[in-house]
Amino acid sequence: MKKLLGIFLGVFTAIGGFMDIGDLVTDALIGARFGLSLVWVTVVAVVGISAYTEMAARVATITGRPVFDLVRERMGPRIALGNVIVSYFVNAITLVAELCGVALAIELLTDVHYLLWVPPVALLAFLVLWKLPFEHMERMYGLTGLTLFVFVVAVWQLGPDWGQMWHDVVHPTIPGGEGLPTYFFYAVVMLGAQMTPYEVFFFSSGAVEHEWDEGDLGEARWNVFLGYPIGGALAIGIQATAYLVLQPAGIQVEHLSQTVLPVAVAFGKVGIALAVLGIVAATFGSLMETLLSSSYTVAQHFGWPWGKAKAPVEASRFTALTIVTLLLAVGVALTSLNPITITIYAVYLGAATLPFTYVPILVVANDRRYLGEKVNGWFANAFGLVYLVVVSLAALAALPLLLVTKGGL
Amino acid sequence: MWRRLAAIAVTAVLAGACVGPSRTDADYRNKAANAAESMLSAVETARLVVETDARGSSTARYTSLVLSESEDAASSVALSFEVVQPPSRAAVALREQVTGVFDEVTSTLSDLRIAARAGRHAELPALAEPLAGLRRALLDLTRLAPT
Repeated sequence: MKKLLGIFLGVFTAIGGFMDIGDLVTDALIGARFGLSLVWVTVVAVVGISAYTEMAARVATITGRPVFDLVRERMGPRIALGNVIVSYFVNAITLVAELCGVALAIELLTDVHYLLWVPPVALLAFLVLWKLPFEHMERMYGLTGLTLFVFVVAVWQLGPDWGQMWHDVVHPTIPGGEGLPTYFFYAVVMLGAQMTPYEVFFFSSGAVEHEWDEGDLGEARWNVFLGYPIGGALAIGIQATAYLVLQPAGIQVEHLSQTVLPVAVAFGKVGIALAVLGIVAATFGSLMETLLSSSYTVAQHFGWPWGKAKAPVEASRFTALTIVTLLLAVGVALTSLNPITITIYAVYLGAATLPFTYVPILVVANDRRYLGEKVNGWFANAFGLVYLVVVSLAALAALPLLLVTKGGL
Repeated sequence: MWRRLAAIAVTAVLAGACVGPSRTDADYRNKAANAAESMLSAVETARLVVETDARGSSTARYTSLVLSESEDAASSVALSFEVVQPPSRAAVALREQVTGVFDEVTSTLSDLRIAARAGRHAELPALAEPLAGLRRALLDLTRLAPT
């Protein structure tokens, strides 16, 4: 019974953890601009991230070490260092976006400018990091984030033409006035938002923080194979509400407040409250995950003692790096750069660097010295290779598409 | 080599993101249509939140924030368009027509924001009435873009 409860809580945490500011913004933006014609990207992304997170979880539970701890050993220090630099940079930019995301969500409730919320949110993150056990921290934001399902229920409440919606999903067309390069630019952005590298770093390191072993692999797989697809359904729900309410009105999503507007139309004040609560929880959770992931990658590469569960004095360099990263993120957020622009560029950078995350996982998951009999089978490898081609093509196309579309204009 | 490529890429992106002068009437019309499309988004966002508020389905703070953001977005679009140099006399005439509509939009959105911030929510539907006509004017302007 306790095991079953653990699986349920884990799945719910994975669902809530799937959503972040990148998802919230790009789902609404794309739903309002392209309707349901990019739902296929969400399906592709969910299958891909589930496959690779399962590999990362398998490596972590069997070896007791996260994937990126093994990358330096397996691929050599030079390649691994390049990987760490790219990963840290992308994580840090995403951290800025998440920090702004939490502050923007609180602004929706208080109408007090988001910049004033940035320092208190960072302080709260610091306190949660130090005072709350890892498992409680994850479950707190994972479970609260489930209120975001108000977006899915809102689709029913808005009374759509289901036949038309299904037709738009399975026959994707580019709306009038949009070009093919812009369509593919946003497909790449969506892929970056939903195959976010930090989710894999965090899941893999989290398995070690939880002290999972081979016996926990089943639970990890439930979390991934059930939690992520349901998280994907949530993302599609946000796209669908934007498609039903914002697209017919010609509204272009430039603010987080516009993401909530369809839910306000469907459910009124209760809808706004649930949506904002879910956004605060989801972005705060992602803030913690990106913050920890930034330090995890660097500490694991250099072999420093690491872990949220460790006392700061036992993992002093990991702790110092976490504090410095958080302070840097606050500094960048307070420059008053447009937070939505930061978010779009964070997910874009995530997309452009996806192979840096996924190649090492595939390599380590095929190494019998680490996994013995639990190495990838032919099916996992076939999937892995297909996805490697997909993310590599997306990464290669990212810069030309950015230039041609002038950043998706 | 890589540094040069990166520098070229960054310059290209920044150059692309800036609003440059228009060299032809067609390009100027295109810029006007794009600006009208963005302005239409601000107008429709405001209309939708006012309708929602009038049904008692929105909180005062949320309505106030959305109206304030719509006004900011509209002001930003208007300013970006005003700084584009019209290439001909015909373009100057078009500029006057477009900026006239944009001024009315920003003024109406300012009135809405002021009323919402002051807690005069009952006045919002009446204050938003001009937005229906402005929406039609903006839709006409969006058709200036070559199809």
